[in-house]
Amino acid sequence: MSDLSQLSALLSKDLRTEFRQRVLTAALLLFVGSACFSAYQVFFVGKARVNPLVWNSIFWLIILFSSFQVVGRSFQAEMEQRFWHYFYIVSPEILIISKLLYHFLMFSITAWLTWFLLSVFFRNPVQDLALFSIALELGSLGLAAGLTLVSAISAKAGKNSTLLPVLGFPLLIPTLLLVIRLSITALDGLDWSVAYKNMLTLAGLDAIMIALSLILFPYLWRS
Amino acid sequence: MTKISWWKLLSVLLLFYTVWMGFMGKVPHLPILNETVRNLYFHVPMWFGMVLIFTASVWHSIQYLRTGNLENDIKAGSFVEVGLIFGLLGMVTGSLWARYTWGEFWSNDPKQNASAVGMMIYLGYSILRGSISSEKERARIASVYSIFAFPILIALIFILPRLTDSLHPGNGGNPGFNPYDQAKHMRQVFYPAIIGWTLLGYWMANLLVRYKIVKQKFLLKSA
Repeated sequence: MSDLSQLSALLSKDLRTEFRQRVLTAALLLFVGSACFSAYQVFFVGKARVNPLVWNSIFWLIILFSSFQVVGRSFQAEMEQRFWHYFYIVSPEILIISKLLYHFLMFSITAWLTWFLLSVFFRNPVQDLALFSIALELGSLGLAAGLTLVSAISAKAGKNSTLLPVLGFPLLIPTLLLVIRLSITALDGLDWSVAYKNMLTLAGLDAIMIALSLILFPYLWRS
Repeated sequence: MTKISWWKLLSVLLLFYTVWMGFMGKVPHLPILNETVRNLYFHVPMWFGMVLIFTASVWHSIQYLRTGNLENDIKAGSFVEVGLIFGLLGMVTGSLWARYTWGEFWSNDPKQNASAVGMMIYLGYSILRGSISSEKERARIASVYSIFAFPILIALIFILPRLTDSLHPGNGGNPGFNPYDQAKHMRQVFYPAIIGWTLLGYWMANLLVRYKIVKQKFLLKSA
């Protein structure tokens, strides 16, 4: 099989198992929905409208926590039950790329959903929709790039639920800081020239994390 | 007759010089800073030492992945332990100093936050090492994590603070080390202090490595 067809086969397998196990998809949707609703209950005191800066923080916190929800189970099959099967039929680079893409897709979907739900509950404070969408995609990519290798590490170490947050949170902070600054520019509807520096830095950080994942995953894979 | 390494002697001499000059030497009397400027000889070298020691650790992690020599892994782990001690001391000396100059122990300064995240990353590294019992697995997984985390830490300490305001010198419009430049003689203590403290850290890590290797040999013999 060529690399590309391997990649698409792996990716479609991940997506199909995701959507066939309806419980998992439903759980993720419920997670995002109830998180948004809790935020609404906690922050909407009286009739006061929530400050856009606070809205932004709520938004990224919900995405951060739901991304751990997605990533927590993603390497289990490859690392534990069907390890030898995968080990002989795919190259590690293809596997990590397919996982990166899968996480990126899932995070993007949850991010758009969160945006929609928060806009329903709180109104939409975003003034520059295009810039905010870019921030959202770059942020999802950053979370995927940061968490994919870490989830592989914690699955390999065999203590997924304990290790993943401990290893993942500190590594995601630079991405979060940058994306929050970038999306604040979008919320305030400032000129794009203000955002370029943060945007480029974030894209560069994403690229570094993806490149390192590609280089390092093969070492993790062969045992 | 035991041979005394020249660099250990150098470290001791430089540190005596640093401590003597640090408490007895002449310093300029600037507003707010006053005598606290002496912290330059103790706090700042802790961070230089920490970054250099972590760099050494990552270098050994890379060497481990290339050669598979377990001694490299022992070195990588020991350097992290010493680096954490340096980081903790840097944080304590820094926040004590900040209490009397900036007004608070913790001023939400980007560099303070970055250092806290750095500590979290490497504490996570220690937890990861502790949670895997097989030696080779531990060495490989920990090396992968360490190499992945290091560039993110570097981005956090050196790149992100430059994009925002910081109370530290050299960031957000604050002058670099210019105030200190007015007193050229302070450099004559500052640079030796960096070398002295870093050599001390290397010495500590060296002892730790030798202890661990001896312990391992002993365990193998008694088993």
